Amino acid sequence: MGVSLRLERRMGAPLALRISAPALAVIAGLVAGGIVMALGGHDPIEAYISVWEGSLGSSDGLQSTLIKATPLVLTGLAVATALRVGLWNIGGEGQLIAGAIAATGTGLYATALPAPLLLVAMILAGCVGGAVWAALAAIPRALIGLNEIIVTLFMNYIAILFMDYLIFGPWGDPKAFGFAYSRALPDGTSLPLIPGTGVHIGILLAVVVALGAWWLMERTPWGFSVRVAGGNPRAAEYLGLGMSRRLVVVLAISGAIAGLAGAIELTGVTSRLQEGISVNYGYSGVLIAFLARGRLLAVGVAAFLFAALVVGSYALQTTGVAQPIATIIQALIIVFLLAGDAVLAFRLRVTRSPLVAEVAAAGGRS
Amino acid sequence: MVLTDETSEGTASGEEAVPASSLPVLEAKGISKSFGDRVANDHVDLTVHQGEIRALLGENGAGKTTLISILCGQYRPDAGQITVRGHSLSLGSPRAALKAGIGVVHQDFRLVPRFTVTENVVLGTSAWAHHKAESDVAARARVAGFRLDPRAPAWALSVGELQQLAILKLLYRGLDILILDEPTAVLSPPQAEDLFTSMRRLAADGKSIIFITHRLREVTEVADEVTILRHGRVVADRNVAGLDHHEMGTLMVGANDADRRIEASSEAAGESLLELDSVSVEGRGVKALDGVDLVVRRKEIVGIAGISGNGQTALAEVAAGIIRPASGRRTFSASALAYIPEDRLNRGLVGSMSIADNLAFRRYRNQSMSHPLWLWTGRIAALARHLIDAFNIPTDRPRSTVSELSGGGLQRVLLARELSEEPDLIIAAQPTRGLDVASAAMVRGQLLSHRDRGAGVMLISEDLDEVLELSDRVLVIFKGAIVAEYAGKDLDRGEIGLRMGGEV
Repeated sequence: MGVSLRLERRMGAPLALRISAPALAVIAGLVAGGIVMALGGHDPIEAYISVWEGSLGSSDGLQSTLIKATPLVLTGLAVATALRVGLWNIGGEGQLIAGAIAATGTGLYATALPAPLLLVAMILAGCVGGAVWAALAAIPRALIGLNEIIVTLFMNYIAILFMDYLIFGPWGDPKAFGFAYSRALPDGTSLPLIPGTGVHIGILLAVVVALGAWWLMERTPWGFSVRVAGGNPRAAEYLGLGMSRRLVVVLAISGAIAGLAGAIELTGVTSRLQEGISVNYGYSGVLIAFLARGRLLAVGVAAFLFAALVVGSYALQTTGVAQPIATIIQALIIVFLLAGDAVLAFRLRVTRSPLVAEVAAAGGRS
Repeated sequence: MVLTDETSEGTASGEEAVPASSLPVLEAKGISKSFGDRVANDHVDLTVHQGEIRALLGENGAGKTTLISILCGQYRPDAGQITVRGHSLSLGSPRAALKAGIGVVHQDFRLVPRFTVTENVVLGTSAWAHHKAESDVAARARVAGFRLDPRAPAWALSVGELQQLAILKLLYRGLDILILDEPTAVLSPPQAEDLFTSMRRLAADGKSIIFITHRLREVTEVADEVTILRHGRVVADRNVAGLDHHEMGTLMVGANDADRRIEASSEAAGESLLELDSVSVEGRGVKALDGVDLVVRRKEIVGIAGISGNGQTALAEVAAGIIRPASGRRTFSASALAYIPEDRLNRGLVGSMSIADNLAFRRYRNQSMSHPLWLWTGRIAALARHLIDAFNIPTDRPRSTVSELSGGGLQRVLLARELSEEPDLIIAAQPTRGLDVASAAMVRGQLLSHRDRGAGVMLISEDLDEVLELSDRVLVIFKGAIVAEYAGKDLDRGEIGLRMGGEV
């Protein structure tokens, strides 16, 4: 009597499983993280209580999470939008920084504008900056098929180094004594707060952009044509849809969304162009879009939970857990989530096989 | 008992003495399998005797693929049992199926293009890198009647040769219950004849063959016994000798669908819709089309007969305006074109989008479907429901992605979209290839009714019967050139066959 295990691929998992799998993944990640903490001599229960209070379980925590979620929603949207036309935009990081640079430039030099208008101009400049940065990768892709993953990735380093040049050079603050930030922006160019909270209105902008991107891609004829082009270029060719223009326009929109994140971080959080304006938001956006399976509205949810995880791991550090361990726990949860996603595609079969050997011996061979 | 890693080695069973052919080699009893709510197999029984060729006949979605997936251990049935030579087979284990001697030749062959014939055959066996492997493989190929060069790389083989290679791979492993999954779907008629010769030879040698097909003529031509599936159930298990095509067709599709007679009309054709004037197209270094002249007029079906690979793809794409001629002129005077591409999935549908979106694909920009700023999703859904009904697309969820449909379902989606808009020129490339009888009859009926309505049709098909049955004029294509034209009643099947083969 033998038992064999095997995996079978299945078509679409039942709803209950699709909901419980990510929940189980988070629990599994927390348990694994708890073991890591216990090994490090910390009390996991106490630590997780502080994570909860620091991220979702208190007003302050929730506010921090919303602030953190803002750039993540946008960079996640940037990736998911580009996916609609079949492109992987790995350059959210660079586009975010390009947006922040453009917004800073506007803030430092267009000072003739009254403050509220200047703020609007900075935000728009951020979008344009991100769009241009992305288009620089889209145009060679459309014209000669240069791989957009490589180009957008390398454009990130160019953007970071260019920002360094600006903050250490022409835009540097003479009073910073070599610290890495630009001169302060004019007064009145900070994003207003949502009344009664410490949260700037960036999160509202992000929600509006998410709804807009969803509408554009899923509910307009143009978005339909983009999905056709992204889903099957040969079918698009048959419909007479131009591929090149759509590639460039969609990647520019994607870049504009990431650039907006840069402008929002600048005007809502840092108030200056500075190193570390993006804490890998661009790369986290790829992960968030992946967790949301590329669906634009799901990106909002995934980004919010991701932000809670990041903010929670800050809270963890305040209880004395070292930052690397906090990062390990964060990574464990994401790994379990991705694994849960893969597991949904399969089912495990347990089979008992009493007669295999006899058949093998008797059948099919001389 | 857990199976060990030992692979089944190349021991020939052909050397075995063949006992009386009444011995059942494989018996499947009460096989049931459901996917969600869909019952794919419902208490299916299948018995195969030694040395027998058993046809498995059924429409798309009748449950044939599910059944063979269960036989070869890919799926585990919900109920039922399989015995091989009287011993119960461990279900849901591909390795146990292989050990019991069951092998499948899949439609896509699953070979390594860069490997030689020999390397493909011995891959995964202990004969890998064995110095005698090449002569072994050559000897086995000779026994089976295959003309295969053991040193030829697989990418250089024709489709027919690839299929022989895939069969040889199974023989080399000593497998003697061979399942051929729609093997003729990809073959030209002479290649299919070669395959049938090999199948008879293998059966005479004691192998048992399960042969899956849609074509009634092939069943009578090569099979001894036939099992007919409909909606997942066995509706007939009979000796082929006692069955005529009409009865077989009726069993397969049910009484009403099979009996559809199709008549060609002889009404005079009207004005020209499409003209090709000495059109040439460059293929990979060779001329895919070489000075083609043709006209398609209103109210006629122009059939293009020919063996696959003689420029049909380029002809369809140049006629549909997808590729430009390298020289010559295309004059297009139709107002609405329907194009049924040969490569339906890659050219015609977007797998990641929903069934409803794929159905709306050509008209989403119409005023009835959208405003520049929004799509009327309700109307798109209503259109989808209407077309799903009218064309019997096997789904009840228009919003599920189109790639969840079976092959026949995908083809119906494409046809529904292309033919539902009153086109005045239809370019149909292999429109019934791989379709079950009912679907094929529906396609032919559609082409005829559009012709009668006043549309012009260019029908490119490898199925000569189909071309002869439907066409008002027949052109024969050979090596990218139109080598003969026949109009009206002076159609001589034998002569057309000769022209297709390049004879004069």
